[in-house]
Amino acid sequence: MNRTQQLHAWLLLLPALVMLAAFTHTPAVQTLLHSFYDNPMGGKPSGFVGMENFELLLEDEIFWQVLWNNTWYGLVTVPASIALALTMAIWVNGRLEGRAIVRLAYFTPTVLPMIAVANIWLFFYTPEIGLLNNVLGWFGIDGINWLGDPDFALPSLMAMTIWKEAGFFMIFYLAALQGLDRSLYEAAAIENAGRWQVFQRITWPLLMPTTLFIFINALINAFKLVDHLFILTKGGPNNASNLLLYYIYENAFSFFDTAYAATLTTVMLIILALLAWLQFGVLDKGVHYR
Amino acid sequence: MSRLSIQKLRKSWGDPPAADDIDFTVESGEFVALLGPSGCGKSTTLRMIAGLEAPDSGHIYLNDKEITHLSPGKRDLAMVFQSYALFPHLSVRENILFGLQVRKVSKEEQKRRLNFVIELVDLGSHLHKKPGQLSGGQCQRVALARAVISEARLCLMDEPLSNLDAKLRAEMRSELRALQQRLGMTVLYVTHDQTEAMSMADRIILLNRGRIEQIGRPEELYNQPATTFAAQFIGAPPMNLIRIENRVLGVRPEHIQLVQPGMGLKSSHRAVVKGCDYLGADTLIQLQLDEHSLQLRITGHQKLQPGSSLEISWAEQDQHSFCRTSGQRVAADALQEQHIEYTKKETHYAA
Ligand SMILES: Nc1ncnc2c1ncn2[C@@H]1O[C@H](COP(=O)(O)OP(=O)(O)O)[C@@H](O)[C@H]1O
Ligand SMILES: [Mg+2]
Repeated sequence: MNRTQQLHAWLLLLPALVMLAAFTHTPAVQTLLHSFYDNPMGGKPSGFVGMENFELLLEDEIFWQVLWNNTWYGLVTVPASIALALTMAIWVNGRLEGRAIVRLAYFTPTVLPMIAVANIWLFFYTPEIGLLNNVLGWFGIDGINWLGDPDFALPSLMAMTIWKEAGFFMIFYLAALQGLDRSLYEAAAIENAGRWQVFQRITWPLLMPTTLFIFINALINAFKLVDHLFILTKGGPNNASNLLLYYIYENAFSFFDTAYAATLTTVMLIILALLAWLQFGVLDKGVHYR
Repeated sequence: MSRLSIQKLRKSWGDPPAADDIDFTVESGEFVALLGPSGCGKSTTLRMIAGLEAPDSGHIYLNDKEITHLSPGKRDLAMVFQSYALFPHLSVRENILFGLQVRKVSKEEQKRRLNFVIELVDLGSHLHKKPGQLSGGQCQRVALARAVISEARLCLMDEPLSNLDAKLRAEMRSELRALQQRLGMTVLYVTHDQTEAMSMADRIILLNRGRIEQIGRPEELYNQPATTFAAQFIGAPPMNLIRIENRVLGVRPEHIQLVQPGMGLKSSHRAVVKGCDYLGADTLIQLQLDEHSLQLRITGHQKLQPGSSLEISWAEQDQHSFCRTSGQRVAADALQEQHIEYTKKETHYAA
């Protein structure tokens, strides 16, 4: 490439770079810096406090509970929604013609916002008139306060998340399944391979790139998606269903402790960076890409 | 031992049926080609035999056992796909062993057969590569190895060489035939390439629009084409067909000879040169004989001016005759009565 071409390339990139720097990189770096300062108070500007915020964080029981909640939330919802998505996709794939699936992929209602989904599930979970308790009532079982009971609040959120995520991920699996070569399955059929053998030895490995993509997305979503908390539990009762991002929100906008929110955000960024490294550095190596 | 017998097989997705009234047998150790133009129902027929497509009616027997409704895996046959259908995420070794592993063949037996097959198709140095790292010819060998290692009674092949370049295709042709003979394999081989069928097969089943046009040894199809379709499909360039009254007269381009002018041969005809195609070993000449277009093949490099005239003739035994309406071959006896049609025109010339 000669000089003018290089200049040209940079000029073309410039708008995107400016946007990215202004709205992503700068705030991230500022947040990082902010986590080493305290809050400005009554005219006194914020001062450098070193690791003080992080020491506070280590002693914060709620932080540990929230982190623990979020870990559980991820450990359960990610594998469960992937398994459910794959099962549904394989089931649907055998019954739909190719073009129908492509259309479905475009017009799917799974792009439903999390807020809307949460409102639907609120109707399921409501103690007195909720669908779930009504169904339990038919069998003579006492209703459960799904969102109000500390033991059930987080599992209830997980169930909803699995439902929502599985529907979304199914579309990716469906598209990937459509792209697989039919003759591979015919070759396997001629060798008398059973359903499980075909899944284990052909479908699963060939879907690996898709699974990896979905896995990382699901994992990031487990930390990123908290819209439903606003509708369903607000992190309660007593932080039983609180998640990291919602806790950050609470600190920043309910308690106005921006320094601590920045500290929590730094922790969150570290977690997300680790997840990205997991994808590109570790998992990618063992996957067959076409 | 293994004998395939097909009776009244039919499959239709609409009108006309993709395959209809298919009746043939493949004897043990025989190499039979299913030949025909694209879309004539070759793959459909093969896939019904493999169990990948359910026939509308008819019966399939392998060694006198009816397999018409068995699942593909229970038919004891192997198949080589046009696209090879190699598993892209598995190594060559795993691809070849896939069937044996699935069928839970013992490890020692797997090893023994693998060594034998690898030797046979010369893949020794590629065992740990993935299909994506192989050339077309090597992929072809893996697909072949996968079929051979199963030691199935019948091996079905659907245009296995069509994705290779011309040179490699010719090589693989003789290699495949040698392999089949050495192992005594029973093969049903689908192709649209008449050269491939002629050079490899013990017998050819010629298909046209879902129906069998002719079954026979390659020389039978060449020497006694049963229909005008067979006459034109077998041989390159195709047989010249001259329509006269209620007959169609056929002469192969390679059977037309040049005659010295003025030799006074009774059965010679004068034709006008329209063009020449030099093919290397021989030359293809387009001729105009009265209102008919003919092709003539002669050895060597012949330069003939368009517009110049030639004296041509052909031997009586090289002339074929077909019914104009049905396209069916007219038997030699019937020909005797009518005698050769084209000599009539000759008299008109001599006058
Ligand atoms: N799955 C199918 N659905 C509908 N029509 C088909 C299907 N498979 C083949 N056909 C039709 O059947 C005819 C024969 O096809 P095929 O057996 O593939 O021909 P070929 O001799 O080229 O292998 C074609 O007209 C094709 O369009
Ligand atoms: Mg075909």
